[in-house]
Amino acid sequence: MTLTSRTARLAALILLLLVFTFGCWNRVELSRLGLLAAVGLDKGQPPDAVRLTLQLIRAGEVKPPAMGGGSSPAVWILSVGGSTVFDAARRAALQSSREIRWSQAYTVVIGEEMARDGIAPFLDFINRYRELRDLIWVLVTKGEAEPVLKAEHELEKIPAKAMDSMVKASYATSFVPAVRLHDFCLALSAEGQEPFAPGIEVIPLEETPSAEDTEGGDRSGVGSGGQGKQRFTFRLRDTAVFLGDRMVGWMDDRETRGLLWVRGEVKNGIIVVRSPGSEAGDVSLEIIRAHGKVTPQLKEGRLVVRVEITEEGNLEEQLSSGDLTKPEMFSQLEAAQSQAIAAEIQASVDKAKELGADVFGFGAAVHRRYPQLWKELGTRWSDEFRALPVEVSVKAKLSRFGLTTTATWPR
Amino acid sequence: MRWKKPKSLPEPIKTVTPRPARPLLPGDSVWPEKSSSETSEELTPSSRFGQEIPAKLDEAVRRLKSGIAASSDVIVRELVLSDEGPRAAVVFVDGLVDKKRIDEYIIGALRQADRYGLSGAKPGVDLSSVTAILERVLSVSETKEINQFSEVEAGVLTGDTVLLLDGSSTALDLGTKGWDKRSVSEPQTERTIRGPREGFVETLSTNVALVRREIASPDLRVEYIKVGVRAKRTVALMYMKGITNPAIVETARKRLAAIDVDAILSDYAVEYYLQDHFLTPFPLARSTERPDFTAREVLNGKLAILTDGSPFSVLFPTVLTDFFRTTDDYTGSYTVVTLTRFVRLLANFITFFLAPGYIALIDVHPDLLPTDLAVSIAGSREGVPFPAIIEVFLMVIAFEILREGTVRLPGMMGQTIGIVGGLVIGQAAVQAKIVSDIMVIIIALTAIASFTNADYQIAATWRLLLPFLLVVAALFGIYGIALFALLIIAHITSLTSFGVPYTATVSPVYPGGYLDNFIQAPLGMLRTRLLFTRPLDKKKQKPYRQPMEHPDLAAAQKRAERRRGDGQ
Repeated sequence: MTLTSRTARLAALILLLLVFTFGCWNRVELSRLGLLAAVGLDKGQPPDAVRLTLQLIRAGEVKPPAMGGGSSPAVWILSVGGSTVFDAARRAALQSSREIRWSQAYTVVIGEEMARDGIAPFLDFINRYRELRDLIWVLVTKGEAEPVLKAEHELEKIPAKAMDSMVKASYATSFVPAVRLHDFCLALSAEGQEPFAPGIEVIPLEETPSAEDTEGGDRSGVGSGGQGKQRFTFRLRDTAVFLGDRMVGWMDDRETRGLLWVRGEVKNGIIVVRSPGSEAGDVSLEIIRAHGKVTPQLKEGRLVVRVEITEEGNLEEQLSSGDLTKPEMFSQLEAAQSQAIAAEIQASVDKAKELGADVFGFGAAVHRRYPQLWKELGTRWSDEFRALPVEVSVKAKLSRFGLTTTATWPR
Repeated sequence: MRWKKPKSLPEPIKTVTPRPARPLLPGDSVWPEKSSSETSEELTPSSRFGQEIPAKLDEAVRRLKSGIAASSDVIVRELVLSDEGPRAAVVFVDGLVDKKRIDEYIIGALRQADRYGLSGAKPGVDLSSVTAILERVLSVSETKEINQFSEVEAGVLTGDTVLLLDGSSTALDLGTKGWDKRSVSEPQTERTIRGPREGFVETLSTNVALVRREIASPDLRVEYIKVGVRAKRTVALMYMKGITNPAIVETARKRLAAIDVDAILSDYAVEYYLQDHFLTPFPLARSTERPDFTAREVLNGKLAILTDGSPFSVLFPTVLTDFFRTTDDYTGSYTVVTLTRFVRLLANFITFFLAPGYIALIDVHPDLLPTDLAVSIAGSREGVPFPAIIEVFLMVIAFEILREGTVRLPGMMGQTIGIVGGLVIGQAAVQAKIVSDIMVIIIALTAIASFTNADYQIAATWRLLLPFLLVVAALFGIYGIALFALLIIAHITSLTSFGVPYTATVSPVYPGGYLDNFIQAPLGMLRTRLLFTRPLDKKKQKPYRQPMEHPDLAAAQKRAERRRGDGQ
C-alpha cells in the first residue's frame, strides 16, 4: 500500500482530531479526590437558601486499624450554606483540601422543613449534575438532614453505606419503601402519581461511659464538646408522602406496606395474625411472594378502582399451642392473612385520601385506561382521589409450615 | 476468505555468488603471516573456490599449512603407507573429531593393510589407489570422494577427517564427527506434563534425527543448506513431500540463498532473514525447543527450519493464534485443554490490559468505579507521593530489572532474587508508602500472566508495548486504550508470514480453523491440517468409527471359566 503524502497527512490529521476532540481530557488522581458518601439538603439560614451537608469519606481510615487504617472516624462532615445547591457545593471547596467527587455518593437526605417547602428547585442540580448517579437513594428525615449525616453506625465505618444497605434490605419488612432518585423524579413529573420516599430518623445510642471516652478517643461526629457526649445513630422509619414537590405527611409502617402491596413492591415481610382456634397467641406468617394489580373500572358511570392482591406465605412461628397444620386451621389462617393485608391496604388508602396524595398511582392507571375521562379528572385529581372508591380483594395462600408440625409447647 | 499468493517474495536468485574479495582489515587476524611470495588472493576463503587438490602431497600439505592448518587446532598427520608405497596425510580438527575412530579405523586400518602387503601372505592392497583404500581398507561408514580444495577445508572444519594421498588429486572425506555435545534432555523453556521429555540439542544431525523419529515417513524431506560466507553453517529445511506447499519451501530456499553474511550464529538470524517484515514487534515465526511440536507442525503443513548449533526449530508460516498452542494441548482431554486455552488467552489479555485499565479507571474515570472499590483503592493510595502512572512505571521497571536479573543469574541464586525482589518490591515498598498494595497486586498478576505462553516471544511483545499503552491510558483513559488497541489491530492485520495473513484462522477463516485456536475440538474432529499453509493434502484423518461396542466383561469371564471347566 502506498500513501501519497497528501492522504498520509490527512490520515494523521484525522487521527489527531480523533484523539483531541472527544472531550474526555481530564486527568485526575483518585487519591487526591474527596469521595462524597452522602449529601444532605436543609433549608438555609437567610440569606442562604440552602444548607448542604456533605459526608466525605476519609479513605485512609476505612480499613481496620490492623490493616493500616486509623481508629479515627472514617468520614468528615462538612456543612456549607449557599444561595443555590451548586453555589453551596462550590463553597465547600473553601474548606476541603480535595476536590469533592459526587459520583460515588450513596444517598441524598432531605430535611423535613425543606421537603415541606418544596424541593423541586433543589433537586434540579442533583438531577442535572454529571457526576451524580441517578441511582442514589432518596431519604427524607424527620427534622434536619445534618444530624442524620453526623450520626454514626456501629457496623459500618461509613454511615452512608449503612443507609445504602438498610434501604436495600428494606424488603425484609416492606415497612419502608426503597426509592431511587430516578424513580422519585419520574413520580414527580408523572401525572396521577405522587412521589414518596422512605423516612430516616436519628435515635440516641445507649451511651455507657467507656474507657474510650476517658482516653479521649473521639469517635463521635455529633455534639462537639462536652465529656459525656451523646452519640447518635439512625434508623429507617415511615414514609414521607409528597403532593407535587411538597411533602404533606407521613405514613407509618403498616400504611407503608399497604402502599407497597398496591404497587406490587412487597417482596418479603412478616404478617402477625391471631392464632385461629381456642388457644390464645399470635402467629407469624412470612410473605414469600406477592403480586398487586390495579384496575380502574366504570361502574354505572362512577369510577371505581379495583385492587387485587395475590399473596403466598409460609407459617414461620406460632405462639399458641394448637395444631395449625390441619386443613381447616390452615384455611382460617389464610383468611386471617387476607384480612390483615386488606386492613393494611385500607389504612394506607385512608391515609393517602386524608393527605390528598395519590401515591398509589391510581390516577396514572385511570389515565392509561380512560384517557378521555382523565382529561376531565386530571386537573382536580387530588380532590377526586379523596372521594375515589377503592375495592380491595386479597387472595392469600399459605404453603409450608417449616421444619416442625406441632408447636413447641410443653406437655 | 481467500488469500492471494504471497506478493512479497524476493526475486529469484540465479546463482550463489561469492562475495567479492575485500581487503584484509586490521581486525581480521585469523590468517597466518604470509610469505611475500604468496598472492593476496589467498586472503579470503572465497578465493579458493574452484581450486583442485594438487596431486603432489607435499604441495597439498604446504598449502594446507598456509591455510587452515596454520591454526593450532588443525592437525595434519603424515604417514608412510608402505616401504615402496605412497605417502599420505590425515587432516582433522582437534576437538571436532572422535580421535579413537581415526586411530583405529583410519590410521590403524591403513597400517594393518600395509602389514599384510609386506608379509606377502595375501595379495596386498594397492595403497596408491584411493578407490582401493576406500573399498578395502577403511572401516568408516560415512565417506565421500572429493577433489576440490575448498571441500577439504569445509569437510575438516565440520568435523570430518580428510585423507590425502600422494599422487592422487582425489581425497577422501571421512565422517568422524565426534565432539563433546550436550545429551538430549528436557527442554528448558517448554515443559510439559504428559508430553515427551526430549528437547533439541546443539547438534543439527541429532535434532534432525529427533524429528525423524517422530515422523518415520519416506515423505519427510530434509534439505541441508550451507549459509554464511566466511563461516558456513548448515541449516536444515524439514517438510513433508506431498503435504507442504512447495512454494513455501521454494521461498525458504531462495531467501536462504540470498543471505550474504559472514556467519549465521543463531536460529533467530535465520528467522530474521526469512520473515516477511522486520518493522514489527510481533514474532512472525514460532520457535520451539520440542521435536514433537516441530513434527506436529510439519505434518500440519508447515516448514521447519533447524540451524546447526541452536536447540530451536523455527516454523514458517506462523499466525498469531499459533502462539497460544503448546505441546501440552495435545496430550490431554480437549475439555481441559479448552479451559487452559481460555486461561492462556485471559492471561495474555491481563498482561496487556490490566495495568492500563487500572490506570485509566483511577486516573481518568474514577466515576466508573463502584463506591466500595473506589474507597478501598483510594485508601490504599493514601500517602503514596506519586501519581498512579509514575507508580506503575516504577513497578514495571522494577519488575523488568528483576526479570532480567533472574535470567542472567546462576540457578542457585534465583531464590535469593526471589526473596530480595519479593521483600523489597513487595512488602518494603508498600510499607514505605512508595507504591500502593493494589499496584503490587496488579503488577504481580501482570508479571505472572506474561509467562503462561509456551513461546515467550509474544508475551515479550505485550511487555514491550505496555509502557506506551500505559501513557495513553493515563492521558485519555479507556478511550485511549481503545484507540491504541485499534492501532495495534491495524498493524497486526498488515502483517504476513510467508504470505499468510498474521490474523489467519480468525480472519480469514478456514474450515476447521476455529476447532484448534481458541478452543480445542475433540481429537477426532481435528480432521484438517492448518489450512492457511495451503497444504497439498488437506485432510489428516478420516472420521473415526468405533468398530464395536465393548462386550460385557462378566459374560466373557463366565464363558472363559466354563470353557476351562470343560477342558478339565
